[in-house]
Parts: sequence; C-alpha cells; structure tokens
Amino acid sequence: MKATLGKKQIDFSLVISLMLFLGAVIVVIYLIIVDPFNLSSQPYGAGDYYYTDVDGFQDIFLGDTRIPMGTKHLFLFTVIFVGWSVFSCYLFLWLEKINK
Amino acid sequence: MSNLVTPEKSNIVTSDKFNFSDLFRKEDWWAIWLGFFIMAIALMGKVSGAFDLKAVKAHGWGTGDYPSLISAFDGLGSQLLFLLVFVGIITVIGMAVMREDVKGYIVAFPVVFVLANLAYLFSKHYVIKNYLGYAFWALGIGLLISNTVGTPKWLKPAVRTEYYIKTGLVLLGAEILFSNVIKFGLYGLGIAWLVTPIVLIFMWNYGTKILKMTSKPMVIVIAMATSVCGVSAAIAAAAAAKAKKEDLTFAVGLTLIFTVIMMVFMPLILSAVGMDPMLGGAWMGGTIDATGAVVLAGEAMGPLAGQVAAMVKMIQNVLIGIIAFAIAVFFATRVDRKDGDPAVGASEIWHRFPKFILGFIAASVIFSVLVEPSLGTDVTGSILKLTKGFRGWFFCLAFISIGLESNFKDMTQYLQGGGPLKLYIVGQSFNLVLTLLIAWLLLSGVLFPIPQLAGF
Repeated sequence: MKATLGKKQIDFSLVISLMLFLGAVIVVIYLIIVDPFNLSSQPYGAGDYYYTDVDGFQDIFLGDTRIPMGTKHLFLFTVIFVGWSVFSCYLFLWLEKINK
Repeated sequence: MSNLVTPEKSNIVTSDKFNFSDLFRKEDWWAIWLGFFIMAIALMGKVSGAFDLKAVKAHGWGTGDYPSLISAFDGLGSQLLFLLVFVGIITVIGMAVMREDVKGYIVAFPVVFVLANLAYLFSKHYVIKNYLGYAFWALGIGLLISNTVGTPKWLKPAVRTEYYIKTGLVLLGAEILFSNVIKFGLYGLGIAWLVTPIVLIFMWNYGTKILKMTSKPMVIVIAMATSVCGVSAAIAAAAAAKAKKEDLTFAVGLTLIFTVIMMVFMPLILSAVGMDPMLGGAWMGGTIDATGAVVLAGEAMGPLAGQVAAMVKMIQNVLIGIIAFAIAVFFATRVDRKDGDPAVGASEIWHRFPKFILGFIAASVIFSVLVEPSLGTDVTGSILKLTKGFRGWFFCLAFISIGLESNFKDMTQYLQGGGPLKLYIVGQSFNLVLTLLIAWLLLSGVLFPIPQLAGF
C-alpha cells in the first residue's frame, strides 16, 4: 500500500503501523501515570510473563477446581494433540515448499 | 552483530563425531547441568523439608509495609547476598571448565547482578508491577548504559546472554506440565491448540513472503510471542532459532506495549458490548500475550471469564516446549541450509541442533511424568515456586546483558521498513479474528453442546 507525494513514496501501511504503535506507547504511559482503572490493587498483571510468575499460581492454575469441559480421555487427547502437531508441521513445510 | 546463540563459539559441535568433552566444554551442556542442579537442590530441599532454596527479589514497594524504594530491600540483605554467591559460584564453575575468562567474570558478575536487582526493584513499584515487568526494565537499564557511557570493557566477561538465557530456559522446562493440557478438556485444547499453529504459519508466511523480512529468526520470534504467550515464548523461540539479540529485543518490546493495551481495554469493551463471559474469557486467554495480563483481564470481566481465560492461556503455556523443539529442528534442517545444499542428515541435524533444548524438553518430561505423579501437584507446585525464582533471575540477567550489548545505531538496520511492527500488528489482528471465530464455534452451542462449568 504505497502512494507518491511529490518525489517521495509513502508507505501507508508503515504510517498506520507507526501511528498505532506511538498511540499505544502514549496510552501505556498515561495508564501507568494515572492508573485510571486502579489495576494496582490487583496482585497480577502484564509483568507476569509465565503462569508460574502469577502470585498464587498454584491456586489459579494447579488447584483441584477444574472446569469439566468435554472429555478427559487421555488417549483421545494424546491423539488429537500429537496428530494436530504433526499435521501443522507438514502443512508448514508444504507451504514453504510451494512458496519457494 | 552477535547472535543470541553464537554457533561458532559455543553451540555447534565442529568435529564429525560426538566428543564427550563437549559435555563440559560447550555452553549448551552447561546450561543443562546448571538447570538440573538447581532443580535437584530445590527438589531435595522441598522433599526433605531441610531447607528452601529461595531466589528472592525486592519487595513490592510504594505503599503499605514497604513505602519507599530503599525499604523494598528490608530484611533481604543476607538472602540476596546468598543468591549472588550461589549463582556466582555455579556459573563460574561452568566458566572455568569451559576455559572462559574466570577472573574477569568474578569481577564483573556482581555488577551485572546489581543491575538485575535494579530492574527487579523498578518492576516492583506498586503501580508499575501491573504494567511493565523486569524484562522492560532490564533491557532499558542495559540500553541506557551501553548508549550513554558505553559498556565498560571489564564488565563484558559477565555479559553472557546465551549462558543465562539457556540456563533459564532449562529451568522453564520444569514448569511445562503436560497434565494441564489434559485437565482442561477438549474445548480448551481446541481454542488454544487449533489457533496457535495457524497463526504461527500465517505470520511466518506473511513475514517472509509478503513483507520479505530478511531476518527469519525475527519473524519466528515475533510470531511465537504473538501466537503463544509473549515474552517467555519469544525467549524460547529466539534461543531455538539462534536469533540475534535485536530480534528478541524488538519482539519483547512490541509484545510488552500491546499486552498492556489489550489487558486494559479488551475486558472493558467486551463487557460493554455484553459478550458472554465464557466466550470473552476464551478470547482474551487466546490472544493476550502475558499470562498475568490474561488473568487480570479475565477477572475484570468476572470470575467465569477469569477461569476460562486462565485455562486457555495455561494450555498455550504448555505449548512452548513442543513448538520450540519444532522450531529448533526446522531451523537446523531447512532455514540454516543454503540453496543447493543436499538434504541434512541425522548427524548434521545433531551438530546444528541447539543442545540445551534437550534439557528444556527433558525437564518438562521429568516433571510431568515423574515428579508430579509421584509427589503430587501441591509439592510440585511448591518446587516450581523455587525454580521459577531462579529462572526469573537468569532471564533478568540475560535481558541486562542484551541491553549492555546493543546500541541504537545497530538496531535501526533491523527495523526493515517497519517490518517487525507490521508483522506484529497484522499477526495479532489475525489472531484476534481467528480466536474469536474458533471460540464462538466451540462455546456458543453452534457445533457442540455449551460446556457446563462446575460452580457457575
């Protein structure tokens, strides 16, 4: 998505991306300074990168309270998990091959 | 420009046959030994009850019991000193056996450790803790030093990004418990595992074929951060793909900024339009990068949304291991191979393969198959609470090192016409649309019965 302005070529997708990024940076700075939604009262946030970084992760992620969604059959899970993984890998490699 | 993983120095075995001395001379293997040593000590301490191997960091400060910056270290002096000595000793042993600059390391490591302490200190402010974690501050402190006064020569022996990052990743492996995939049922698996590879493949093709980004590791690192779980996934992908430091810096910078935006505004917007909490939770869990941000955003929409969001994100957390392994194999066999080269054989794959990934996977398998079933989830969780402290420290030391080794002038050549930014924005937009579609198909009753959630 490019256009010319005088002798210069403008990449609109870059302009839009940069505007989004700069806008995001300004909003983040505002959020940190003002804390308008009082997120500081919460024990977790964007600084907790992995699940074990979250305070009380044992209760939130490893506790007994589980959500019974669908089946829990180990064999079925394994087949779906591994099958989809293998299929995704082959799809990836096939796309690489045809796009070369 | 130095690589995150330096093949010529530490990673690639140059002899035709496997040499047993590699086990003690190569950084990849030392990362494994150090990681497993820490895990073993933590496990022994927990099982025997004799001691707790804690990797402490500054208290949260700015309010309550620790109002000032200085008070954040109240009562931690001896524990921090122990940590400095413990991590210093085990890493210096590795340095000595690898025949690196031990004297220089002993002088410089305490300073890098102090800088990492500063990064943790800033990230523990009572407001900042919810928005910007240690990775941001560590990178910032390192970049500030290297781009102003310059990184002193005497500090460089302890600026060991690869050493720290690989050790941290081996420790991260223990936290990847497969049992969590099974616990959350087919719906959670469908949302997390169906979307992730599709987004990854889409972003790879968009970055390499449409944007024509020259740095393929950067494409995969940004794609992994977007489709899996932000900073942790970016670190794993960067190490597996032998990315440059700049690749990781851009990916982490982008994910940190947009995670805050999504964490704050997604629950607000979804609540305002009256979206079903289960659907909203699944959508946020599948798209917001950092796990803590997912929990916060989910809880903001209600307890049901919080549970579902955490569940979906947890499955994505587990996916790091298998995807990092696949990336390592893919880069070793395809990307690093030049056009016209013959197909890579098993021994060549072994030569090129980043060995620490084996420790990363082994730690995950051992904790999933042996530790958790034999000791139970509670004890395993308390062991992970100890190892994750060390993992965090190693990552923090790595980000300090990346900052100290980078300069803005060199980084501008990696902007690639705004490619990384475009890739993240387009990829995240695709991720948002696809995750919503799949979550709606699975949870709205259109295709399958709406799941009944216990307690709601």
